[in-house]
Order: sequence, then structure tokens, then C-alpha cells
Amino acid sequence: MVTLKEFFADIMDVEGVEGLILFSRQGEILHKEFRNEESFEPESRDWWGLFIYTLDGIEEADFVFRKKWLYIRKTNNGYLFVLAKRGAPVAMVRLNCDILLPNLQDMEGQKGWGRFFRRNK
Amino acid sequence: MKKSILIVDDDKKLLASLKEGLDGHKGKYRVLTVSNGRKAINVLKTRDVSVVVTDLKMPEINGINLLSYISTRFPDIPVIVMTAYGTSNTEKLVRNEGASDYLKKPFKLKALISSLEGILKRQVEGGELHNVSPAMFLQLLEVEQRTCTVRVIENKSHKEGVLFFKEGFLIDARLSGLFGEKAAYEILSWEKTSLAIENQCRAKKKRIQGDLQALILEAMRLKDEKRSVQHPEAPEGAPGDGRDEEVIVVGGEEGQEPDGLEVVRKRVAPILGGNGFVRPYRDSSWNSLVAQATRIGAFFEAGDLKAGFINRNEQNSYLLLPGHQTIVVEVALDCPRDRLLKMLSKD
Repeated sequence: MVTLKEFFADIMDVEGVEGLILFSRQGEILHKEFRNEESFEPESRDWWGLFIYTLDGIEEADFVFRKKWLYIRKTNNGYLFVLAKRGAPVAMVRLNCDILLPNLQDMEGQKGWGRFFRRNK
Repeated sequence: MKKSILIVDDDKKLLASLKEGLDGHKGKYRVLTVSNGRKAINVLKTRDVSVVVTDLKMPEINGINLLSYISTRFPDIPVIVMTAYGTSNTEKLVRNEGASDYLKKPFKLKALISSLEGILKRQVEGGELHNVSPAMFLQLLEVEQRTCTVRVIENKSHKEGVLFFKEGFLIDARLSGLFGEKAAYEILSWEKTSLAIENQCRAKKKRIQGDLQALILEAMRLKDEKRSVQHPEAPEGAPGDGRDEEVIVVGGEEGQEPDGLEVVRKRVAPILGGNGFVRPYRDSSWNSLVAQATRIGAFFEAGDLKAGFINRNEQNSYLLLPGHQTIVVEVALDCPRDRLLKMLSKD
């Protein structure tokens, strides 16, 4: 069975992408990956769930900061956050999400779905 | 953590004896003693008390009146009534008034300890959680439509607050002498807490009208306001000090851009043409989302939030610019989003 790291490889491969986090609807971190593994520890913050709640079913969102860009995409089970440098080819990230995320949804309900969310070190 | 037991009796010898007995019992209790109901009320308003043990016959405010007062104002605090003069009718009366237990004097210390332990056990029968943010957990209670009393202890200061839920609705809150929304805002702003859940709602009145989400957002806003006064925003280029992300300053004050809407319109119009968008307007209902996105940006060391684009799968999408009130431009879903964001995020 493919791991989440393998599943999201195409998004991580887009130039400028620094990392991604997959959240459940409750704000639980299901998967995280950063180009520099020591970059960030989202587990150290407990307000992700509140932000997810505030998104209130938004399909997708872009937040442009002075140095970075955060793309947020709703999945069937929660949200995917993709962090990239300013100037990264954001359209490629969106395209990859269009291609990949339906497969993420298709895997829900299949036997062993819980194993799919095995945390990848 | 030790539980505070307030004992109220005009018999000073009995007070001293109970204090000695409970203080020495496995280090579980911190015992406060007072000799009448009026002093007890003063203590309740200023200190965190877990259980009250009161005599019935006392000068000034007697035990029944004290019990009624506590049942109304501090419904989460259980009361054990003790008396030498009681009858079966007395027991019925005090239990109807809300007493959790009734002890006939003279009684052995063991009986009081057993009663205290039973009461304190019931307060956690719904479970205990440690090191959690109350805001997060309480939203689960709302979703599950729970009826319960949640006792919350802030990990750093050990302040204790109580939240009352009925079928998922937060109906009341108490923090020392604060009640209702004021108490709720304070409790909801705590970050790391321990929670104990009792499977019944002890509040009798509905003092809170707003919904939980609105209360949480308001609590955050008040907390950020307090912080931005205590800790001015760290200068740019000072990453990693951990404070940036805690200060949520949503753009500048109103009035810094005399006509920010016009500036936005002028930037957007060349890309979309005159009719490709709804004229910019200010809408503070987006402030919370923008504030939280700003915090996330600080966490990722991304710098100031410049602009946002929101697709709700509706006919229009929304461009957002942070400000005292968020500036909103409604655009078609198939607008040149990236060009617009690039234009709007220029300094």
C-alpha cells in the first residue's frame, strides 16, 4: 500500500514547495512533510483545529505572505495545507491537487483506510 | 493538585479538629475554615473552592440560606450539610435545596472523607484530560451535544473555572466571582489546561446567549488585544523568538489608508475591467479568518499577510486584504487569481 509520503511526492516535487500538512476535519495532523525536516513542529500548536473550524467548509484558499504562500485545499476528510516560497509555480500545486486528491477520497471507505494514515517518520 | 475544602461552622473546636483531620489525610485537601455563612460567601467570591461543608445552625447567615446561595450562584460547588439537630425532614429539605450529602453530628472523620471522595469522584466521571486547549475540546462537546459540567484548571496559574453545557450549548460559566460571558472569555483564552467532566449540568440559569464559536473568537480577540498592548509586534527579520506568531495584528488601524478601498479598486480594475468585480467593501466578519491566517503565517515565518483568496464554491470568490476591517473584493471564480494576488500583495 502506498504511503502518504509517496502519495504527495508530486506536490513536494514542485519547485518552491517547502512542505505540506494534511489535517482531519477536527484539526488533527494526519501527515506532515517538510523539505527541511527540522523546520516546523505543527504539533506544538493547538490552534489548528480552530482554524479548520473557521474555514467552515471553504473549498480552497490562498494566503499570500511577504515571504511565502499558503495554499489550502479541502479534502473529503479534512484539509491539505501546502506551504511554498513566494514565486513558486502555484498553478502546478493546484493542478497536482486536482489530480491527486480525488484518489485520496477514493481510498476512504476501503478496508485498511486507517492504515493508510499510518504516520510517516 | 490539592482540592480546597471550605468548612463553615460556628463551633471552633470542631473546625480545628476537622481541619487537622483533613489536612493530614494523604495530602489531598487544602482546608479553609470560617465561622459563619457571610464569611463563607466572601471566601467563595475570592478563592477557588472545590467543596463546602457547612453546619445548619449558625448565627447571621444560617446553613440553609448559605446552601441556597451556593446552589444559585455557585451551582458547580457541591455542599455537604452537617447538623446535630436534624430529622429525616431536615435531610429531605437540604437535599431538595441542592445538598450533595448530609451528615448527622457527631460523625466520624472517615464518614466525611468518604463523602468528599464520592463527590470528587463524580466530578470526573465523564473523564479527565490534561494539557489541552479548552477551546478545541469544547467544540467537540458542542458537536456531541453533551450535557455536562466541565471544571477547567489553567496549567500555569492553577486558576479554576467552570463551564456548563446543556445539550451541547454553553449556557453558563464561572471563574471565582465572574459569571456568564465574562468568565467564559477568560476560560476560553487559556491555552494549556486540565479538564474534568461531570456528567450533569449543574447550572440552573442560562447566562450565556451567544454560540460557542462566537465566544471562542471573541475570547481570542480579547486575548490578542491584551497581548498586543503588553508585547508590541516584533520587528521583521527577527524570526524564531516565538513571539511573532502570538501577536495578531490584522493590518493597520483604520484611518492609516485614507481611502484603502479606492487603492484596491485601482489595482484590481486594470486586470478585471470595470465590470469584472464587485466594488471593494469592508467586512469585519472576515477578520477572524484573517487573524488566524496571520498567526499561521507567523508560525511559518512567512512575514506579513498581504492578501487572501477564498473559494467557497459559490458564484463569486473573495479577495481579502487585511485591515482594521478586512477589505473584500468579490470576483468571479475563474478570475486571474494569481495575477490579482500578485498585484494586491505588492508593497
